[in-house]
Amino acid sequence: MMRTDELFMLWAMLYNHPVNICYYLLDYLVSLAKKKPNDKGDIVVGGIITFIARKFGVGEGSGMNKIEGSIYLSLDTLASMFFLKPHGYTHNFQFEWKVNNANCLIILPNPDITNPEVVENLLYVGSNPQVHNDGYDGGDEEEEGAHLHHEQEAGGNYNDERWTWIQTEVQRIGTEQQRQGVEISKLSNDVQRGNHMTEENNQMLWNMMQHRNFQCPPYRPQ
Amino acid sequence: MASKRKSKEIEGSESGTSKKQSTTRNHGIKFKDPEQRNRYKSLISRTISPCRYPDVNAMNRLRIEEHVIRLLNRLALVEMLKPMKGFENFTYEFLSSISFTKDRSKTNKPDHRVTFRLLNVDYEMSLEAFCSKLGLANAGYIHDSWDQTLRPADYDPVVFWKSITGLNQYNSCSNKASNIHNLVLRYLQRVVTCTI
Repeated sequence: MMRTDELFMLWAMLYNHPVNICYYLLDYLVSLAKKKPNDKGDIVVGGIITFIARKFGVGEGSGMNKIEGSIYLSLDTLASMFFLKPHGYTHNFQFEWKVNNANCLIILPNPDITNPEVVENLLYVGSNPQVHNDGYDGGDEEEEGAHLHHEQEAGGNYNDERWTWIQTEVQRIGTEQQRQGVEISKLSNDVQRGNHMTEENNQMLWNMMQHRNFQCPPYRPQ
Repeated sequence: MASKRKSKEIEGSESGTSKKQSTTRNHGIKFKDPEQRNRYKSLISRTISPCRYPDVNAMNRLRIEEHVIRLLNRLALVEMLKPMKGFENFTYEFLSSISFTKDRSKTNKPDHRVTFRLLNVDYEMSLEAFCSKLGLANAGYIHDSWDQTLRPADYDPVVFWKSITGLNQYNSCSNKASNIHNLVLRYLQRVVTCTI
């Protein structure tokens, strides 16, 4: 089952709207804490509570009884949840992704078709040659298999390093975007003030917008 | 005298052992009130499992890393979702003591309050202070807020659900994530469901 808050988060992420994350986090943790003992679903917020504890100066050294098991949404985990499955017997780097009760089959990876910011990729209708029809009905196995437990997998260090890198990159991009935002704003003010926009400025503005992934037509000198 | 001292030592030792066993049994938690004890009892009867964090190996192999990270970053979730070990004592103590009291008075600055315990220390603060400690802004939409100004005007769950599943029927109690078509959105839903 999908919570209404989760649907809202997806919408906000997809369309880039700000959300009061702490409000939702606290709301969720309180609702989780008040559930009855026979409630379905595991308690899976241990890592998030460690994150909060750290922020309040409580280090992992005070932690007792580490919660054991895999902490990653790895390919093995996804396969065991029936989320996706290896494609064919020999194609170890390809996976099958079934949607719409398995009426469509997508062979992964396929970034052109999985990019959620292309509106056509939100719903697959089977007209794309990269989407195949498939008669198999996968049903709701994914929901049923979602809480399976797994052994700790290798590759934790690699994940940690990649996460550190991702965070550094995100900060770098944020700083760069802020800097470019100031420059764009300055150029925009110049134009509003009636200053002549030079060819050089035009080219620079377009380059910056490209870098920031804004949708804009290709630059053509006048 | 010797006997008395020995007796004292044994008593002290026994008391210490007993105390240690007791605190270990309760994950070292000293309950502040019966409610916390009852919540703790309820929590320990449930299954506890690790969070499921985004896996960079898997995302690389599926070539969805760039999109997943970009979308998570829009909600400032990247740091929070860096994989971390979970511990039973933190989890049970925090969850057995947490309260979040929403200020529903129609003021410009509502005073939402947060309280919880960690290592038997009480923490009490405003939502603003909690956000600040976590390094996040106390700002942004709350889709079901009683304060209309915090609701996003252009969010319609029925329309959005249809746009990502193709389904006309929307039921907040029975929507299944497996109906979502896009791989990145479904992966993100899995991440969100395990964390916030």
